[in-house]
Amino acid sequence: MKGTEAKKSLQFKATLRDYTRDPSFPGFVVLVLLIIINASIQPNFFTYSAIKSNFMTFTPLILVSMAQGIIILSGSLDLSVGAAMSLLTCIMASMMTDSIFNVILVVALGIICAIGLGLFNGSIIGFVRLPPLIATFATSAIFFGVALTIMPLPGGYVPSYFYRWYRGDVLGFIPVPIFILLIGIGVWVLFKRTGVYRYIYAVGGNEDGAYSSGIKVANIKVMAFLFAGFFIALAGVSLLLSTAIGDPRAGAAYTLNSVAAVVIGGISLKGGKGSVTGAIIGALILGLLINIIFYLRVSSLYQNFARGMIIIIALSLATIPKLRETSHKIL
Amino acid sequence: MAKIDNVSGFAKKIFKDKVAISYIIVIALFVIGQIAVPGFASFNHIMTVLQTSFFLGMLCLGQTIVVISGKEGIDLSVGPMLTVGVITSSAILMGRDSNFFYALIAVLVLGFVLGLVNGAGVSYLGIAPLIMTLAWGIVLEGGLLFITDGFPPGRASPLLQMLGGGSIRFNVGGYAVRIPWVILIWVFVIIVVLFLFKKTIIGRILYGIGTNDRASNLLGINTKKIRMFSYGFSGMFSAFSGMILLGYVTNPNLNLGIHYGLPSVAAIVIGGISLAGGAGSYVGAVAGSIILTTLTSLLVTFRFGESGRQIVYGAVLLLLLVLYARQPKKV
Repeated sequence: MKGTEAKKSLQFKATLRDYTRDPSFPGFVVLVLLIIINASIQPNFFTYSAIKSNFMTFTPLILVSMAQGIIILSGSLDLSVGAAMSLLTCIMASMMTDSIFNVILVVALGIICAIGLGLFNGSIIGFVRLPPLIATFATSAIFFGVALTIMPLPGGYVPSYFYRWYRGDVLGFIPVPIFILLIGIGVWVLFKRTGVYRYIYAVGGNEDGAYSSGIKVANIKVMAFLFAGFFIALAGVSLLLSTAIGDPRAGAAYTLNSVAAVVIGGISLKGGKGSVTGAIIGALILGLLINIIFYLRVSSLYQNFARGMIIIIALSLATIPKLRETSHKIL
Repeated sequence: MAKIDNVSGFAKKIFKDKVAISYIIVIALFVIGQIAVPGFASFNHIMTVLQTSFFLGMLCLGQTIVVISGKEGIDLSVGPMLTVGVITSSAILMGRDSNFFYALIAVLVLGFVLGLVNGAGVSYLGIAPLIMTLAWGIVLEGGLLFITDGFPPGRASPLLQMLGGGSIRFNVGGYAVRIPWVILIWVFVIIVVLFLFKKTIIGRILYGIGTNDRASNLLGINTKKIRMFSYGFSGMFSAFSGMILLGYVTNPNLNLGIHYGLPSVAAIVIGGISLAGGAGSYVGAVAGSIILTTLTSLLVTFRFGESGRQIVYGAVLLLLLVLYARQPKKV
């Protein structure tokens, strides 16, 4: 009897150790800490309405971080996600009318546009082989320019029943922002079962190796961008719903926040290491941070300073498993 | 016959040399400008464009050092660091020449020390350069806003105004010719940098750690320390650029550095410096910064609206990248 118990505790230790070595573990610890801090500052943090209002602002960031996570896992980087989101809000807000048929059509068009933008980014990186950082910076200028052409000033029309829907529930108990998030996660879970998902890790982790083993590297890179395009579309729709306006600058902050969220979540910028779950954790951390700064009534003068410092601290925490690895090697 | 061979050989050599191409593009841009708007390629206007290129060019010097030092090195905090230089020098100068040397020394030291923070995070904490410099840039921007309450004190002194905005004027055969002081400073910097990079051990060590970190380490070079110092120098040059920029605009402004971060990376890529590190020369980066500044100037001359400017800027940047920043094909 004693033997099996010892075995069990050993097994437990082993799984615990495995989990603490997971790249998203430091992010998870920070997330738990932040939830505790947040719960002590924000009144009724765990109530239904507080969760709903928090997710109304978290959802676009989580979705766009998932998109960024997929792209970074494939070994690229996308600095145009923010501009793409803004462009989507402009396109959709400029075309919407009161009819529900039109709204559905416009949202579908938005998703197609986002995938098209992904195809464009993916092709110049996968097929033309441009360096992702600068190439997507260039496309972000183009997207921003197109958004400004469609809508020089924030405006457009979103029917009131549509943006009120975002503040309501599905089936009476799931807040709509969480419902949209669940759609994204559901699609992600389905995608995980396909071979493309494993190829993305292979290409991101070792491009030459993946090429030698017969994977069409360029195609996989493009597919990562196409798939991320779907998540950017969901992010764009939820951003449009939360602001109820088309704004060529609405998404600007999401670019850097998404990269920060992904890195805090333990995804390596070199690609191939980490998980999309990590990206979700990272986005939640950033969202909660902004929440805390808001509820502490920190003067707006401090806010960026605090945000940058916390990102650096979170990243320093993320290096702890790495330090342990190197000490292991020396011993 | 032999002569023709020589000519075609020469042409081939030029088209393989990325630095040469980038200078050809500079000339082409001026020719296009001259055809569209007569006077664009007049000597004085060329001097004006070169004068405004200086600020980006100095940021590119820091960016070049960091990128050459390798390990995915990149410095996205150059923009905020430039603002640090602007604010520090204006606060110390308070419009008086007697404080000039204190201001210069304070700017250089502060820039270096703040840059070292980037370097320490990258080298010793192992944080990815992209996100470390980005977060530190946010901290610096927030810190400046917090310290100055949004209203930066002081202004440039007459001596600094002359260095930043003034020029030497003289007559050549009846024509009034002016050469801005900034260009003389730039030429001096270029000569010193080229000497240090090509003729001294400093250059060899820098290119060495960028090409092969491990081999340099085995040769007894403290690669971590040198990489950390490269970020310090990047901060120093950015802050110096900010100080001269204050001379150009006279009154300090917290937004001066916003549009410089990614363009400085784009400029060095256009100048033929590989983001993988260990290769490229500052001469190319100079051409890159002139190209981007000329392009901006050209788009303003053509009276494009904000939206058109963004689209054309992005499209031309993509075109330039396609011309010679394509990564090698897998074999």
